[in-house]
Amino acid sequence: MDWSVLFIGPPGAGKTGAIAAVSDIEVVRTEAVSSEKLGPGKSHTTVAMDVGAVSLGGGERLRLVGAPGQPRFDFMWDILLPSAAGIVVLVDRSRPDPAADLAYYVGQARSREGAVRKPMVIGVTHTDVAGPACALMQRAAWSGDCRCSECRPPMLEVDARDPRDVRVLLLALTAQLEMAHRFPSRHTQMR
Amino acid sequence: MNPAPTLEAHQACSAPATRRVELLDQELLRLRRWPNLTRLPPDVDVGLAARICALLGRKPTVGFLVARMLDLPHARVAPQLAKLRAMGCIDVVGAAVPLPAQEPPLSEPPSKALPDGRFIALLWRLLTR
Repeated sequence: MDWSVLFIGPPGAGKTGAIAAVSDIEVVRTEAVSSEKLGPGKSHTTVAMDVGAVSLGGGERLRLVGAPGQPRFDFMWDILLPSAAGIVVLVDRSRPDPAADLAYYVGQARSREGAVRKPMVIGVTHTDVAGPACALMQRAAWSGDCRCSECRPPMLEVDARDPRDVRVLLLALTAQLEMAHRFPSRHTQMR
Repeated sequence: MNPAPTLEAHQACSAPATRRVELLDQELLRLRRWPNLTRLPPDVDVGLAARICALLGRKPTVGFLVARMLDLPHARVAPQLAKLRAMGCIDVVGAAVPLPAQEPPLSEPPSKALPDGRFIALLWRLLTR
């Protein structure tokens, strides 16, 4: 099976840029002029998916797949989630209500059949502008009182254009994958 | 479980490093929150911090067993545990209860919805080189 990491989040959060920052290949983009107002200097948005890849050696390859951000394209998420080893949720802190964005995208990812119990990491982009504190945003992403990493995924500040930051996102995801592989028993409530 | 008292956290931070390590060795530890891994102080090992948090975020573990579960020397893991504790990322749940040295047999096989160990190891190597 060809494993992938799926990047989801609102338009303009930096999904395409994050994939391009670490991909070994030229990113295959499916962009079109957006009918919605996006961030400054951004006129195009992903309509199907972006695909990059990194070679792991030993004949293995990890695909980096960016899903379209607009909810009207959410059927693509159902197509892309089953082959995803993990999920990166990127949110743009400069948008009007990033906590609501976060709750929406994390909730969508968690509620879809193909994403149940898959490791997740949250990247907060555009942190150079004023926005809600990370603690407020964390509460939007957390589900219930359980403290396990499935219910409270890691949240990192990232510059989506910086390969180092994107690698650390993937590192947090990989560490969770390792533990899920080594300790596969279903987690109990960690309160 | 309530978060660790502030006084205890202060004592843990102000104790000598070796003493802090000993303190955590005998405690049952649980992840409180992930640190902001992209903005860690330079003396924190990002990869190791991620693995410790992933472990403690999946199963509470006695301090001295963390290194064993990560297949790393205790001397390398213990200081990082202490740093994560001082940063407020790890809770002490309580005194350790005796645990077997070996993990009990897994109750579930690894999920087929996740990559196998070889794939994960290759990915880890790529990200940390």
